[in-house]
Amino acid sequence: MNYFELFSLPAVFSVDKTQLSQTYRDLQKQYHPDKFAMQDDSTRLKAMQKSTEINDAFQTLKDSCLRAQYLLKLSGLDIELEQRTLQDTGFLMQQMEWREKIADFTADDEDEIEDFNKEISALVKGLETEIEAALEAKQLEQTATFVRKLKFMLKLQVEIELLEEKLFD
Amino acid sequence: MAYSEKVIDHYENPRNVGSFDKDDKSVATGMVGAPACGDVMKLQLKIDANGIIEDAKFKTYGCGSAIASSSLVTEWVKGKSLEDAAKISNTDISAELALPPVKIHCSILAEDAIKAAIEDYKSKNA
Repeated sequence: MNYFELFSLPAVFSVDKTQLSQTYRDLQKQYHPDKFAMQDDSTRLKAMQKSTEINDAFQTLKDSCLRAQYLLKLSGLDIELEQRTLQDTGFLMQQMEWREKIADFTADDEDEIEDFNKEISALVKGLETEIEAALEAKQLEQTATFVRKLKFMLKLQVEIELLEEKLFD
Repeated sequence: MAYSEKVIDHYENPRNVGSFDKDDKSVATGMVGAPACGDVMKLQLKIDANGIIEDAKFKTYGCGSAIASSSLVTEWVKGKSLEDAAKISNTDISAELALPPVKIHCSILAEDAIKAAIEDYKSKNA
């Protein structure tokens, strides 16, 4: 049973977040270890494994990047542990400029940081839309390229978050 | 995870950080990124009239291992011909820095940066 089947969801990129969370809570309740405390070892073990699987599935399905990667894997293209490098010079130059920008921000740049954050979030949304379309069209390699780019964008978002914590908390 | 002493040394005292003018014909620029961790690396080589790498600079946004790998590579390539520089492999880099398996992609990134720079130089001077 794959993660989508486990959550009774169609195996597509766009997921209903509310339904996902609700199903997660229902499944966790259903397989909670406390409910199996009086059962034999093998039943308890199975319930625990199920509970772990439910957790893994939820972590994968709620994250757009992991979800796309998982859908690729179901279609036979596994990029999860790949070690290849990306050599798209234009894209990487832009990444480099953005990282420099983040490094140069100071506590006086609160508004600029906010604007930058919005700009990056919009680009992340754009990439997610492209991923959805490429997956629907079954263009696996194209999807993989977008997913790889998404990882750099998500890293940028983490960097912005860390910067904000450092400057304003 | 513990970093080796060599990684810490390069991380705390990175060699040859900076940039050359990428439009200069004697400058080779290699831009590479690792999707696994979102690290970005720029390696630039300054090549003399005899095809020898006279200087190298890098700029890396990434973890300690990625910074150490690129810093080490700038030291190694100096004085080498492009042909010899292309022979530097990720296994040389990861062995020198004692990188753990989960950080091997950092040394692959540095190796690919050299190769990308050489490609850039060839296409510029073709």
